[in-house]
Amino acid sequence: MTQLVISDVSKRYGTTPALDRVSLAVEPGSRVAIVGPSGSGKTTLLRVIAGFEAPDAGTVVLDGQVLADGRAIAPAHRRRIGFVAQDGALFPHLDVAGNLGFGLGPNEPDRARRLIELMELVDLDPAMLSRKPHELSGGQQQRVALARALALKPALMLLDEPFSALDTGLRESVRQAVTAVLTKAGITTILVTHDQGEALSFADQLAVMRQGRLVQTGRPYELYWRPTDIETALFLGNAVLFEARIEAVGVSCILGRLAAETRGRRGHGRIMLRPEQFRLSPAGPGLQVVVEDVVFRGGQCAVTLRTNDDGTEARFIAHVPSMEFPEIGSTVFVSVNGAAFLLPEAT
Amino acid sequence: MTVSLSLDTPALPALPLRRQRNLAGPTMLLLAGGVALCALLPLGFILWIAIETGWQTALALIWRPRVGELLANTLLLEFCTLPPAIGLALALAWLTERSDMPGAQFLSWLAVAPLAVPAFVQSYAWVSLFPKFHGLPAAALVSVLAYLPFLYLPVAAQMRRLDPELEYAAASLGQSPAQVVRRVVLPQLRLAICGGSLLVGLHLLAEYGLYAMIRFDTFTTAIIDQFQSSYNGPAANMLAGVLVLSCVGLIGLEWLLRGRARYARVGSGAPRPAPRRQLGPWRLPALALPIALALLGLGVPALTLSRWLMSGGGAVWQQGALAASVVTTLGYAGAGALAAVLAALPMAWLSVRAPSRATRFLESCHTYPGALPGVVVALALVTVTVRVALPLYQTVATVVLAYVLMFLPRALVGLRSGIAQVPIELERAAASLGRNPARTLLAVTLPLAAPGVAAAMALVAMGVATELTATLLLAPNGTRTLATEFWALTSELDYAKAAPYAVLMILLSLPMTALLHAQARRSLNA
Repeated sequence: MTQLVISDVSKRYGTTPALDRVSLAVEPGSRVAIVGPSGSGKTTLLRVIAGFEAPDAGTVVLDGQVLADGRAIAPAHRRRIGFVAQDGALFPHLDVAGNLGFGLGPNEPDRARRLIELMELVDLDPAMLSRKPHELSGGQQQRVALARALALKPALMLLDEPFSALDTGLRESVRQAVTAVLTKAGITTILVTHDQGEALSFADQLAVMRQGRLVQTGRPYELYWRPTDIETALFLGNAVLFEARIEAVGVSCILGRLAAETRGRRGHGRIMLRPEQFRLSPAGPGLQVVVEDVVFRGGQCAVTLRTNDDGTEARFIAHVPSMEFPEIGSTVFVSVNGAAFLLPEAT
Repeated sequence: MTVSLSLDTPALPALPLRRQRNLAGPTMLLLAGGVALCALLPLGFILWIAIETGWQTALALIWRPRVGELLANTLLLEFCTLPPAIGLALALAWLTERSDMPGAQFLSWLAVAPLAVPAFVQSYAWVSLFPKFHGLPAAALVSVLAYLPFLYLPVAAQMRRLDPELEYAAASLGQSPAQVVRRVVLPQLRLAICGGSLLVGLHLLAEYGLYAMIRFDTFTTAIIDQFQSSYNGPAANMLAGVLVLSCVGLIGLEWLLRGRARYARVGSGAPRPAPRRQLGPWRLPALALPIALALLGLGVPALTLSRWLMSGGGAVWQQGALAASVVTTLGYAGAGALAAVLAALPMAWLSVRAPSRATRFLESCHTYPGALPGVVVALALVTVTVRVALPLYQTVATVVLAYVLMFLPRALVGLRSGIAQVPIELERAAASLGRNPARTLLAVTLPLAAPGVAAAMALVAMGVATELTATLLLAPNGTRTLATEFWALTSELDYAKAAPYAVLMILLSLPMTALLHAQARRSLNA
C-alpha cells in the first residue's frame, strides 16, 4: 500500500506552462482519475510521476522516497511504477510471453508459471502466449499491457488513457476488468482520461485539471453535484444554470423556491441543476412550460422546455425516462427533485 | 477471475536523485552538424573556384562555343527524353493500375525491372548490337529506356492512391470522363510527375557512361574528357560550375511547376481502391505497349549479353580480374554502406525524434549532394585533397567519402523509417519495466530498427556496386571494381570479356529494384 504526495510541481515547455504548481496527495490503495480537456497537462503530470520527464520545480514523494526534487529525479527504470500507455505500447518484435516477461529476468524461477498466472489475472487464455501483438484485438492488447506492468509488482500503477482507443462497447468491459484486477491487487492507481464518464465510474478520487492547474479534487459524487465553477460543472456532465435570489432558506428562481445550501450568502447567485433532476407531470406541481423538442435516446430522452412566462423566456433541457416522454408542443409542469447547487462566487 | 497470484509490493530501495542529463539531443546535433559541414564540401568547392578563378577568366572559360554546344546538347537531351518518358509513364501506369489488362501485376514488375540494368550497360547493349547507333536519337532512346522506371514508380504509386470518390464526385457534378481526367486526375498526379521528371532530368545531367559509350557529348562527359587530358584544369572546374547551375535550374523549374499545393486526402480512413476500367476489345492490344517497352529495355540487353557470353564461351568467366573485381566491389560497397549509414545516423535520429526548424535545415544539407552529379562531388574531392590533404589523394578513404556524400539521401531514407519503428513510448514502456537505457537500446531499439538499417545499407551498397564516375576519378591507381573494369574492357571494344561484368552488376542491382518496387507499393498503405 503506497502513498504518493505531489507538491507544487511546475513544468513549462518553452514559454507554455504545462503544469502550474500542482499538488495532489493520493491515499494508499485508492484509485484516482485525473480528468481534463486535451492540453490541460494531465498527461505531463503522469509522465513526471513515471519519471519520463523532470519537473522544473516541486517534489514527488512515493512512500517517503523522494522521486523528484525540482530537476533532480530518480531514473524511471528504478522507480517500480507501472505504466500502461494509450495504445498499450506492446513490443511488436516480441510475442505475448516476451512482452509479459520483459520486466522479469530471463532466469527468473517459475517464469512459465508466472506468465500463466498473469494471463489468468487479466482473463486471457494462456494459449495466447505465443501470439504476436498484431494478432491480438485492441482489448486483448490492453490487457496484456496491464499484465506486463503488473508482472513487476509495481508500487503504483499509471494508466494513460488506456481505454480511449477501444470501441465503446469494449471500453466498458475492459475498464471493469481492469478495475477489478487493480482493486484485487490493492495497487494505488492513477488514471488519466478526457472522458468524464470513465473518470466518474473508475475513481474513488477525482482530480480536475485545466490549463496546467488542478482545479478541484474530491470524491466523484462530490464533484459532480458540487463543482467549484461552471467549467467543471459543464465538463463533468450536462448542467442547467439559472440566476437566483438567495433567501434565508434556499433560493428562488423562475422555477420557484428550491432547496439549496446557501452557506450564509446573501443577494444574488447562480444555481446549477443537473438535467436528470427535473420531473415532468401533466398536472403539476411546478412551473408550466411548453415542450419545444424531444430527442429520443433509448433509456432517456432529452426534452427541450420553454417557459411560458411572459417577458423572461428561458430554455433548458431535462432528461426524463423515455417511457414518459411528452408530445412536442404540449404543455407540462416541471418540478425539481433534490436540492439546487449554489455555485461559489467567481474569484 | 480466480487469482492466486501474490501482488505484494516489495519495498522500494533508496534511490539517488540525479539531474536528467539529456545529452542525446545536443550530441546528435553536433555530429549531424559535422556531417552537414562535410556535405557542404562540394558546394564550397564550386564557390571557391568561382571566386579563385575570377570574373574575367571564368567568363573567358565559359563564354566559348564549346560550352554553348554542350548546353544545346543538354537542353535537346532533356527535351527529347522527358516528354516521351512522361507520356509513356502515364500510359503504362494507367494500364497496370487502373485497367483490367491481363497480367497487370507482372507487367508492373517488368516496367520497373530496367532499373536493374545500369545505364551504361543499357547503352553497351545497344551500341554493341548496332555499332552505328550514335548521337541524339540514340541518347534519347536509351535514356528513356533506362530512366523510365523513375517516372513510372511515383506515377503508378500515386495513381493507385487516388481516391475514386473524387472522380465520382466530379462525374456527379456533370463532368465528362475526359474532363474528369483533365480536371481531377492529372492535377493529382502533378507532384508525382514533377518529382519523377526531376529525378530523370538530374540523371540525364549526371550520367557519364551512357553518353560516353554512345558518343553524345554532355557537360559530364566533357568534364571527364577535360579532366583526363589535363588533370584538374580550371576548364573542367568551370564546366562543373555550369553543370551545377543546370542542376539548380532544373530544381528551380520543378519547384515552380510543382507549385505550393499539397494534394492530401481530406477525411479519415483508407481510400477505397479504384475500380479498374474495362478495356473490352482493347484488352489484348493494350499489352503491346508494356511488352514493346520490356523488349526494348530488357530484351535488348538480354539478347546482347547472351550473344557475347555465347561467343566468349566459358573463358570469359575465368578471367582472373573478374574474381578480383568482385572482391574489390564488395569491399567498396560494404565500406561505403557502413560509412554512409553511420554518417546519416545522427541526422535520421534528429529528424524522427527531435524535428525542428534547425534540423530541417541540417537535413537539406545532408540531402542536396544527392542532386549533384557524381562528377562534381569527385572533382571537389580531387581539388580539396590535392590542395589541402595531398596524402589523401587517390586513396580508399576519399572514394568512400565520395560514396557517403552521394548516397547520404538513400541512407537517410532507410534509417528514418527504421528509427520511426521505435516510437518513444516503447522505450518508456521498457523503462517502466525496469530496463536501464543501455539495456533498452539492446532489447527494444536495435531489434526494431534493424530492418530499416539493413535496408539503408543495402540501398547504399547497391548504389556503390554500379557507381562508375566518381570511382573512375577518385580510386587509387589499379583499383578494379566491376564498373571500372567493365568500362576499361568496353573502351577496348572487348565486348565479350565485358559481358560477365555486366551480368554481375545486373545481379547485384536486382535486390534494389525489388526493394524499390515493394516500397512504392507499401507507401500506399502508409
